[in-house]
Amino acid sequence: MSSPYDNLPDSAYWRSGVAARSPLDPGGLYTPRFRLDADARIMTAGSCFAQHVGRTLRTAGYNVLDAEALPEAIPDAVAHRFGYGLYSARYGNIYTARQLLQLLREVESGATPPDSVWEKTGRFYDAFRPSVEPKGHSSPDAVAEHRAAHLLAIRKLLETLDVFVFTFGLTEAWLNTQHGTVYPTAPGTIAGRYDPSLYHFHNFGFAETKADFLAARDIIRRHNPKARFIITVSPVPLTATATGQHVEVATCYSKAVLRAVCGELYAEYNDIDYFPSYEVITSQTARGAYYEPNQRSVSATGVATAMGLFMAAQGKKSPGAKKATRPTLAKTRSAAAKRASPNQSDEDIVCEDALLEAFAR
Amino acid sequence: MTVIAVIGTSHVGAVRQGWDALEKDYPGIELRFFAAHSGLVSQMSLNRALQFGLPTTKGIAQKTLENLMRNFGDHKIDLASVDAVLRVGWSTNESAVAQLLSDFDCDGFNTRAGRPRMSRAAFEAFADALAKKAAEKRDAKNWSRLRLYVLPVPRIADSCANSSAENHAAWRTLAQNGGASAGLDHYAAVARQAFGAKGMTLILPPAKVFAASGLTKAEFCRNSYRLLLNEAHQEDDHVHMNATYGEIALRTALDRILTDSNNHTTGA
Repeated sequence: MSSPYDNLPDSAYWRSGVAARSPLDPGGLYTPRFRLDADARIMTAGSCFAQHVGRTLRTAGYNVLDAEALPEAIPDAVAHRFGYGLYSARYGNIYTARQLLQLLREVESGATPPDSVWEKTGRFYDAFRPSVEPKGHSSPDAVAEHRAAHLLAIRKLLETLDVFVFTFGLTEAWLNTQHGTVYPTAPGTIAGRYDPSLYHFHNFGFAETKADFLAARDIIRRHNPKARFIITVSPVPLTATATGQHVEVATCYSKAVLRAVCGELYAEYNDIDYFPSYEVITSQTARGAYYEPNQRSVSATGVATAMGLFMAAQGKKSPGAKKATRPTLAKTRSAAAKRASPNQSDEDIVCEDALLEAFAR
Repeated sequence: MTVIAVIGTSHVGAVRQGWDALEKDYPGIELRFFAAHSGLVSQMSLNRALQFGLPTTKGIAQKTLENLMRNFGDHKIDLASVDAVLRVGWSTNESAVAQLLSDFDCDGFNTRAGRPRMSRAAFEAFADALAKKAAEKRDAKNWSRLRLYVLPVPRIADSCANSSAENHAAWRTLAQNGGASAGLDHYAAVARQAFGAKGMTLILPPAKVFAASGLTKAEFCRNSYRLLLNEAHQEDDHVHMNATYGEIALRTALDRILTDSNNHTTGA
């Protein structure tokens, strides 16, 4: 008698696909749906793990766009402090699909959502990317002017990109109750003030997240009908949860929602590829080795392994084989190479949600 | 007699030519020149005996070595026997600042409509980082034993406005649009501080060499000559300056060195 489970490849069985695998061997978890062409113009965005993705792609010689590129000579550490060089534009971390959608709608319409400026000790911050100006601006008008120029840069990106790489990070977010405006950080974390009558917590579900991403995809494709997408889920757990649940339970829910959304997006849309960075980092074979001692931050080895799998599957040399460039939008790969090491841990990346630890008792 | 070593890259050429006009004004000064193209200079180092030059001649083209021998009689120069060193052609990373001013609308420093905005805080932080990076030097311990003055790579001439050279793109934008002076002036002050913190004196040419655009006046790069070959630089060279520039820059440097020497002597 035959079974549909007869004669499947080794990867289909846990014993041969996982249990028999050497520790730290990522296995054959990824088969690209489409080849990422060396000249493909890539826009990256997402939660803080996405910084690793962008950096690795750039290091490997991919054409990662940067609409607000700095000169090569400026040290990364200083650039990153002001949000430069982290993503394809200076939008900071985009943790939720709703945040992505809100940004793209703003780019399209030019209308910034209400309650977009937060104040702290007489300085004013862009509430949608509060960490990119550590000392804020002198006035709300200055915030608005900078934001308008930033939106123009993103618009150019949308018109230029071939591939949009997005890392889903969180489902938990804080919203303005009256307007529905969504923020990357809770009010009061970097700037602003938490007022329960103005803001509320929301944990996005499967349907919302999927619909938000698809709406974002529609916007990108309106600007760029041939755009393709690579999506992934950040393996970085929540720093804190506002659900009232244990943070580990809340993390599992959040990641499960994001993973399920990615699963359906991949299944339903041929222009969307899914890269399993979450699976690589959290794999039982790794026995937690891909995390730092805080069991949250992804270690340099973890990043290298996940991105090494991506590169290998895409037929690229391992990260580090080629020096990275700091590309621009217009001239994406001509600048002299001398950039970041791909072997950077979470300690090197900019992650606003880590600030929540400062609020832990 | 005050002995000053003038060492550095191809930009020593203008200084050398400028010295011809200045020598009579500084009877108490002897200049000793030692220069090579920037690629070769970057391979040179300063040893503990304060000899500056190639640590080894291995891998260096014979013709290059012959040029050094013909012009300077050696592959190295003895800096232990001089009173001060004027290092010419040191990059201050000013081109990166030009790129910032070209690519961004920097609060308080320039206006570039349609470009991404950069806050004053970011610009100042980047300027500070660039200056500190430029002031880092190899063999720092050995250099710190010398009275070291730095005459940086000249700011590109505004004749580059018509250049099609890719490496002049940022400067070309500034030459065409102007408005770079505030940012470049700020950077000059920051760089002076950064070099000072490393025990060096950064000598910047006086304001009269700069055009309204903030770039060096075009007249200073006309008829500039190549250091070793005694032939004119190509017409599309907006980087190398002529004897007049060399004279102005060298006078600024010598006056500063002599002032410091007198202060040192009198205990001022």
